[in-house]
Amino acid sequence: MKNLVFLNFFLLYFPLFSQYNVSVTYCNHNDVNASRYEPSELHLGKKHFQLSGNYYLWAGNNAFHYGLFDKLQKDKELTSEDIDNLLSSMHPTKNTLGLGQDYQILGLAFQIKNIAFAFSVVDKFAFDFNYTRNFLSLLWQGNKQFAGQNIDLGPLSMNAQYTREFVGATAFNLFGDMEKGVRLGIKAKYIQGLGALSMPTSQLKMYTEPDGRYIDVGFNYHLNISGLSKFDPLAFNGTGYGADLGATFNFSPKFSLDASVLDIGAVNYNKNLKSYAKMGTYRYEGMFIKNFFSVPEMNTDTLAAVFEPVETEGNGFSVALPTRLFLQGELKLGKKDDESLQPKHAFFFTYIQGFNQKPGGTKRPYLGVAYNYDLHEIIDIGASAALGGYNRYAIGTFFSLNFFHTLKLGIGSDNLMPLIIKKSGTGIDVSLNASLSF
Amino acid sequence: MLMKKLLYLVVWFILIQACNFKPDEIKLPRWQSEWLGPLSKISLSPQDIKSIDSIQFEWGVTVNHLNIAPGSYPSLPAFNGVNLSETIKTSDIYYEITFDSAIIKLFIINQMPFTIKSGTNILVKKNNSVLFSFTVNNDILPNTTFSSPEFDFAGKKLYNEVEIYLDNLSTQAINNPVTITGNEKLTIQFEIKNFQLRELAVESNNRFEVIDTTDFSFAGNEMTAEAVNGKLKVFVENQFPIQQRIQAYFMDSLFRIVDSLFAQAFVIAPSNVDGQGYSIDKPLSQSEISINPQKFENLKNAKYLLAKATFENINQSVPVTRMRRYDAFDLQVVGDLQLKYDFTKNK
Repeated sequence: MKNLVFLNFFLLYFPLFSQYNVSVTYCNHNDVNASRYEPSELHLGKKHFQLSGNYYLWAGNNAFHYGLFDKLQKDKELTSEDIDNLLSSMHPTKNTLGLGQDYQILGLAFQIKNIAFAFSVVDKFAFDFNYTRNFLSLLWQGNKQFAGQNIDLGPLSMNAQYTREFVGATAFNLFGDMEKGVRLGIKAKYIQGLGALSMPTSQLKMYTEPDGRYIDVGFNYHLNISGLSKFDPLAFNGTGYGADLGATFNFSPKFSLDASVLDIGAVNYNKNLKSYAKMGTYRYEGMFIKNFFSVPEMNTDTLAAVFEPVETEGNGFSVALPTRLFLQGELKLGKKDDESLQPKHAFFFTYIQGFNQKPGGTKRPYLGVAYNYDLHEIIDIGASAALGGYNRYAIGTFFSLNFFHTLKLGIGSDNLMPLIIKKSGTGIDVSLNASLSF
Repeated sequence: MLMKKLLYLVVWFILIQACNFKPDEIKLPRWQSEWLGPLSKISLSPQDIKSIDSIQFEWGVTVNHLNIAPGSYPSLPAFNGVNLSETIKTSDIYYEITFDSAIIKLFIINQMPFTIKSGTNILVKKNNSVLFSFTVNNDILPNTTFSSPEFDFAGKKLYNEVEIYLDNLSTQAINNPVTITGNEKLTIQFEIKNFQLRELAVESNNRFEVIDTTDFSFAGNEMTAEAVNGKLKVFVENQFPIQQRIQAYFMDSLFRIVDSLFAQAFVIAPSNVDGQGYSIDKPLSQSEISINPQKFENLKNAKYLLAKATFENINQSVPVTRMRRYDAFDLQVVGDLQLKYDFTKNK
């Protein structure tokens, strides 16, 4: 029970950022799992059939770090200074915490010559919470600090989505081969939306008159939900389509570049819908007392009505997929394992740029480097370091075992910072991979 | 094996941390915040003053007016066509009231020993202008009260002094012995109600006071917070052309004064007026009240608020100043408070 309590606390208090599961592209480079992020890298080497699975759990944020949590445990005290330091280190308006998990329930691939085909089913859940330093600062320090200023308290929003993707994929050499040439990868997705919570707008502004005589509040929020009132993992409330496109440019046997655009598309929700929306401005001048000398009345009802949302049912809405550009260069040194196409030494340079701020994706660019060492074609082990994305900094490691070029088991993490540099650890993730090839 | 160790490392890390982490043992910091904002706003206008929700004035006609001396009489003759008049004061507060709408009703309470005969005419005048006129169409027996129908009084004025005329007063003769004590009287009573004021005029150098009590609840009753180094700012925008002194007393459930809003009455500057006595601006006056933990507790314990307003028509350049129905003084209380809350202490 304590573990569960802690896990909840850890995941919520320690905000996590959606991570990208990049480690799977480092140590399981050519299998079905990795091709989820690099469609053109789907290649089974000398094998013809592969069965695979992948589980990925992530959490991250850009404000809270593990050092604070660690200090809490040791000192048993949260000080005002801790909170002040935390607030001062936050971004004024762009703070996000997120968590999620992906299950590749099923992954099948087969290959004829250099043309590979794959089919997979992936369940994805992602949640993010966006908040501002101003809002937390208001709660902690009061509004006097903002007197005479127009301040943004928003965005203050939550987004969550649970989807099930049925994915068909193919990859083939456009010309040349795997040492010199261009290979294309295409994935088409039919997506079932099991449930979603979407806040496309969540503006909140406040102005406190310097003498405190009035407070102006401007707000505009819109919340859509689908399938949350009675969640059923086997029923879906929306459908959508998506696509991943990728190309691998094999410039030489030692260097290649993958360029992919992932998660193009959206899910349209049209069942079990509810929407809440309200926008307006309100000037608060205190509880207005009418009929002071007879039967005093206060305007509390009016105040509550100002913010009471308009509820509607049946309005469909769309949630875009976290579309992003994924670039990865690979420098391959040493003897290559022909069965898996893994070289002895592999250096990776990864750049990810999200095009929207959605659960599972961020506009903050991600830049990472990694090294993978292949030991006797049995063990792959390596480490990675990254900047940006959902975290400020990230250091990860990955490891896989290859049994007779048939069974490959791997574990990896893009972010183990809390274990290494506590004050820089703002998230954590773990990826488990397994593949069986024939 | 290494993979298992890595997996174990992550799981171990989470579980061990969970076992060690006991949120209840964490000492939380004191919440200390500074809040600035309006607490309440009250708008007072002539229309809101409870004491003039209904206006009454009366004239008591005694036997002396009929030249009947106290004593015993074998009989009393009838009076026919008697005309009486009197100037009476209707108020010490206003000089003149103009009504947008109002209803006036006349009551005649006959405590004379004889019957007042129908045909008696009652007039209310000011400077030869008739404000109200009514002819009694029933006989009024001794010890009975006559009520007139309600009449529209919209657009009419009531002055602080009016002349009441009792014309064509006729009575029935008493043919039996009767004793006159001198206390017998005929009360002519007027009631003006359901009114909307158009204007209230006050003479210079006049002064009147309004006192009222209302329920009070201080925001934050559920909190055990102390407010320290805080203050309440009081702002008044006064559209009345008269100076005001206001004070409010906070009282507990037994109506004992536990504190006052101001250490001394808050003097509010009057608005300036034009040549006819109408206000032409709404000057702002402000004051501050320091508040300490003791005062905070006093206000939390307060259940009633006794408000006292003194209106003084001084220092104006015109003999009469005028307040329109919607002229008001708006009183606003703003909190500039530092709140503290000890989460650990209050866990």
